[in-house]
Amino acid sequence: MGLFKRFARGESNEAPKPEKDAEDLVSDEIMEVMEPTHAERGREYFDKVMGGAKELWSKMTDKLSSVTGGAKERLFSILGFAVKDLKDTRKDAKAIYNYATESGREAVDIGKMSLVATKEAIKNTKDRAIEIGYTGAALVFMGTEAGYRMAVDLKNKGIELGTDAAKKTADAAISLRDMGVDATEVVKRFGADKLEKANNAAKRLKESGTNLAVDGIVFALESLVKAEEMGIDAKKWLEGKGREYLNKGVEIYGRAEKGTKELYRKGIEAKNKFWDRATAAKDRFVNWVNKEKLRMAREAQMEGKIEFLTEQVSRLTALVEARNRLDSVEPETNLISMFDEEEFSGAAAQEALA
Amino acid sequence: MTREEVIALVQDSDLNETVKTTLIKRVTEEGLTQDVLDTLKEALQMEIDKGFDALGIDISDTPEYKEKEATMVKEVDSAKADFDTAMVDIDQQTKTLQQQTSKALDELEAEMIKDQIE
Repeated sequence: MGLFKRFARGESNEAPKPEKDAEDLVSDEIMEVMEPTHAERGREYFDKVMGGAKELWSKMTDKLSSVTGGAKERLFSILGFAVKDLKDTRKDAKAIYNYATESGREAVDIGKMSLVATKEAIKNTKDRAIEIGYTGAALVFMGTEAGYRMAVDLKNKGIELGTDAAKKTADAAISLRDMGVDATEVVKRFGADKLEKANNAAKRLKESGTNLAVDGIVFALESLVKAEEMGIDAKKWLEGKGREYLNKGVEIYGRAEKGTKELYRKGIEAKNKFWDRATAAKDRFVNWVNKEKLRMAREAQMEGKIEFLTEQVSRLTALVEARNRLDSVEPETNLISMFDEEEFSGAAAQEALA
Repeated sequence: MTREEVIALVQDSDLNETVKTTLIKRVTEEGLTQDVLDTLKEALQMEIDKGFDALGIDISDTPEYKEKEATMVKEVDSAKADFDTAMVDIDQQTKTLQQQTSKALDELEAEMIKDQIE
């Protein structure tokens, strides 16, 4: 096979006419066109490997979520917050499922945004808060990731930032943060509309002498909110043996959560390392192929046999140069991954964003 | 390169207008994430491949091409093998964590039952 198939000896020296004659070209050279090109086969191989890695990582994250998810559901059941009859159990499971799905979707949507894009979105939320008339701590809160998440979640639930309900929710988030509870985590787990209930639960726990600044505390808040929604008097429950059981539950859940986060961090590290190595290998190869092909095209051009090549070669040179320039672009850090992995609090987020 | 520079690069490129619009939208909305950068490079590369195909330039039968391709495949496979090993390790640790959590939950449940009996 010649290096210049279409211009090989004995073949036409005319440039292939694009668009209109493309169909004819296909029928003439159907066998050749039907065969995947080397570039296509290379792409297929690379996509297959990357797809396999993505699938493996996705299975791993499912397994990791099932550790904390499973622990939480069982704890609810042990502590007596699993609803009594089958009808309610179904309802409860559905609510948990819906919530998990909603939070997952939210996390994916925000997770797709880069550091710069997220910073901008947070800034926009803060600007909007200024316009609406937020002041003091509430305004500061709206300039954090938790504030941004809250605004997005409320909007999804049809609550505008300017309403009293939204302002009350922001106050609840600030109060939670002041008590040492990560407001971002609460918004992520509960949804913004339950921030007030979470805040009340946190106050109750604090009154009962529970330290709120421990791993897994959000689980305790979730338990109490759930208990109240089921009509259980959380205050009375905490005065009895409830507090002791809840503390143990928080400890178990906290350990599971901490362990899961560590494994997730390790996984992300391995995934990024793989991605970097694989794309670097691909880039090296592709760059070499492009360079080599350009060299040959220029040689043919210099021989002056094929005039139209000049335009084609400069077009391809520009495309190759553009692609090469992208090789040196450092990807922007994903803000949300950074929060998730390093357990940023609202205050730390503010520092990072400043 | 900044986001604005990358957008200008896409804008000035020879890609078709629909592709340009889609790519610029992704850069604007998602920023220069690894995924977005990979998509940009792939879009340009497909255009490059089409261009060389139109010129009839094919080097896939040369020994040097085959050697470089084999090196690339070897590097990617090796990176994937290391990733698979890391995932097996994490999977094992996840199972251990799950067992430990279940054991702790069993103990808590047993304690609560015991308290109720007493």
